[in-house]
Amino acid sequence: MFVVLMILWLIFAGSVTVTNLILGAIVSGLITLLCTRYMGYSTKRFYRGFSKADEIAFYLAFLLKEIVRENFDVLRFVYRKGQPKPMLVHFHSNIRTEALRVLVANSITLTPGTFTVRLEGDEFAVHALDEYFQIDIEHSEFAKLAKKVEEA
Amino acid sequence: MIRVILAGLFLAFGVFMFFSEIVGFYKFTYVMNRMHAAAMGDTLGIGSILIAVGILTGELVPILKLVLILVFMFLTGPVVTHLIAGAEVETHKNAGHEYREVDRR
Repeated sequence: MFVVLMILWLIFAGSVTVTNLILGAIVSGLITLLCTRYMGYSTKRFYRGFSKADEIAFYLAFLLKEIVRENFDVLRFVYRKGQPKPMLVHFHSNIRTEALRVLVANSITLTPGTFTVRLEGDEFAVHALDEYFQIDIEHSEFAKLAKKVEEA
Repeated sequence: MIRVILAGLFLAFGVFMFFSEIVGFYKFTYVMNRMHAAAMGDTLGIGSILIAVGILTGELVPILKLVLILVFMFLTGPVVTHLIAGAEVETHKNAGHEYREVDRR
């Protein structure tokens, strides 16, 4: 986390000078220390995530692709005559990790045409703009990819 | 010159996405459907406009800041959408008439 915060600091500062480096190191170190001591943050767990970098990168690339594709799908519904037929789909994802469930729910919400209304335990309730998007939910690629990240 | 034209194309596309968002917003009649239209501007609209601005500046640090803007947009957008949707489902008693419910559990 220290490295990430340091990079963030340098991006905001806009230039790599001695003052920026020293100030950044102090602030990043302080935040990392506070998080480790009082918020149950563990550096080891953070760096263990890097072993899954391949899967996570693949997931993010797929997410970007889906955002672009579904944008054009919703665009079609905007300029087509008549109202769409919305639906609310309940389904299970079989993902065990809490963080990955939230990631999947947020990915579904981020792609236009579908968004998560409720997430209780492993149960998703997803609203789709039209029956057309239902296919995406039922064979949710996000859930499959997140499962891969979990197992990696 | 090519850079300006490329940036202009991305900018025009982003503005078109925002225009479509407004059209969709007024075309759809129910709040949940309107949110789908609003999601278009939040993702591809702002994305292509930021790409255009990035091409125009052409420097590393401003581009990294633009990427950060996009990341924060992508992190906060779904949370708000989720809250509005939750409020609608909880408070609207006849919400069931507006959509078909399908159970795949």
